[in-house]
Amino acid sequence: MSSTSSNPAPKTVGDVAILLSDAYVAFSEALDDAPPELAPLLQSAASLVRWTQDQLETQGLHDDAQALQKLTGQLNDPTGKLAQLKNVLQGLQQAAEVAAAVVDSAASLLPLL
Amino acid sequence: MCVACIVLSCCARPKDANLTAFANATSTLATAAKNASSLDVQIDAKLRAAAAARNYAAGSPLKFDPKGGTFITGKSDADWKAVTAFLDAVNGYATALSQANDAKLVGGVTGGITSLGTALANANAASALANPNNQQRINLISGAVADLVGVVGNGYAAIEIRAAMNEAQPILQAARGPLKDSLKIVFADATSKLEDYKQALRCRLSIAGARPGTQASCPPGKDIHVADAAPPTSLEKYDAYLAAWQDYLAIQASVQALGNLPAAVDAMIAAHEKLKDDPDNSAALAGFLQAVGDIAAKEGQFEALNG
Repeated sequence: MSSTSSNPAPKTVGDVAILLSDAYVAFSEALDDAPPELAPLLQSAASLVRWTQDQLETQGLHDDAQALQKLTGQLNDPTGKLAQLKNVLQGLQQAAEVAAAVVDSAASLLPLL
Repeated sequence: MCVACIVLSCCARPKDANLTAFANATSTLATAAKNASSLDVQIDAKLRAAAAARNYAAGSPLKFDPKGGTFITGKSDADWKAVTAFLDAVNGYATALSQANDAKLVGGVTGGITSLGTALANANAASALANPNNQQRINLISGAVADLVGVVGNGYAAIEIRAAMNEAQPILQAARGPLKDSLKIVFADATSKLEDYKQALRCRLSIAGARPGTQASCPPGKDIHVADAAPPTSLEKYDAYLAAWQDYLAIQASVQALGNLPAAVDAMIAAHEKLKDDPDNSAALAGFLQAVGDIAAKEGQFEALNG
């Protein structure tokens, strides 16, 4: 997952964050072999990119979290219904078993009557 | 009998194995996402330690005050909890789906009803000893009733399960964007921190390889004057290089695994949609299982390299 993928333009904050991260890595690697006169400039550019990335990530994650919080509540509905279904099936099973035992007992008494 | 066939064919429950595998895979995905933030924090802690060590090596006064790292900038912990809470909720839903579809549960209902039918037949038989034809008829009716109840139980479970899946699908679709986005944000942050850590390792190697009286190459403006009594041996330099390389590779493998998480979210939602429409389709899960398997394998690689 990087800016070199087939997607022509970033669509989300996450995509932009990845582009900024790619730029930060590129600036940092360029610093390794940079001539002394260029190094401070590259260092400043890298720091600026990183700062922008931090701001974007913090805000983007906050927005995503708000959306997901609402959806977590919504997902509890089908989960609750499934738990209820399980309880109903368990109840049916237990009721049938109890009824069978009662009828069995009654049947065993019948010849004695 | 034909009615039973029709009911079974239109309302069959999904395959147990499919829903169990789906639930297990959502659990792996939730764990991998939690590991993602732990990794980000872990790299941050290494960076802080490297910066403190570099300052000490450069002659700054000794400050031994180890501190843990922070997630992103330290302001997103609560937001990340909301992201992982959603993945936990997906796992909870998938587990409930698997449990409600459990063959033993539905089979247990059918078994209970069958026992009841048999008991009733025995009771009737006891009261109608003199007539063998009645006995046979009662057994047949009891068996048929038990079969029918089994079919209805299956059908009821199937209808409820499909209704729940239909309700969950649009929620998963709506979550796709923010979920993938937040995972990309963590990946981007960990990638940048990994680059910083690579620079820190370069600095360390430069110190290890420098001759006395020279400058070790650290980030611009932070070069370190090396004043050791004796130059390092070739073997020491060799070992230092390999140690730094292995340290970097271990973290890199895990960061790469993070990069696969958004695709795993896509695969999960696609698998759920296919299972909803065709519950018996084992192939529907293939992409999702492959995606979480790859992530787990890369995380295992990280664990192995970390010893």
